[in-house]
Amino acid sequence: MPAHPLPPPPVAVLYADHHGWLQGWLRRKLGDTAQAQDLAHDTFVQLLTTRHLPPLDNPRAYLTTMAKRTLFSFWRRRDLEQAYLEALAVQPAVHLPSEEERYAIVQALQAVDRVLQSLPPTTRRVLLLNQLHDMPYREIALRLGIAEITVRRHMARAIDACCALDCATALSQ
Amino acid sequence: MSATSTAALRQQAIAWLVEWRSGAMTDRQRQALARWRQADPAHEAAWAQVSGDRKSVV
Repeated sequence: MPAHPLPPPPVAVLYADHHGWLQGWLRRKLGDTAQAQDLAHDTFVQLLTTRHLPPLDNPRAYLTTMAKRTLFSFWRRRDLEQAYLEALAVQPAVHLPSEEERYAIVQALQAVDRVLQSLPPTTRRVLLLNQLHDMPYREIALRLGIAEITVRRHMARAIDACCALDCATALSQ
Repeated sequence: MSATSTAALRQQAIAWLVEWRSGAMTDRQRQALARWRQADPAHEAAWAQVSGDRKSVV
């Protein structure tokens, strides 16, 4: 037994000192204990995977920022899922996907959503006008008041980001 | 196949896909794309990876 035992790792200290408080904070935002527990857990997992640890003088402010991020993506995920379920509800019952298929589809929607959110706003608009509305570049250029060559650049960037997603999806399977 | 040429092929495939989605592709360009895809299995692989089987992109 060494005379000066090593101090416990910083995240463990944070966890011991603030986990209960964070869970309480999330419970007030969510109004649900189980979800608050899940998201508090997610926040600490995020903390473990980032290289930056919170400043020692005000760890709770840092934890709150991280928890807000977790909360935001949770709400977004829930909205996406909700929108998907609503879209399903108006489909003929013959084509209703199984629970597993639904899960896979919601996962895929989230992945697409993440890529779209990661794109600059104009790039995102160009991609969506082209993909969802089948709008030719000339029309997109007119609508957004940019040059057609710029539309092409946005498309190249968006496609690059989308196939990076596909590679990641392929690797994770 | 070196990593560099894979990346270069990917960029070529992206350039083709940008053309493909332009809404103004000429017959001549379509034929050029078909020739490019047929020229080398690596081209076709890059095209498949970039355009995928996703109906929304192709």
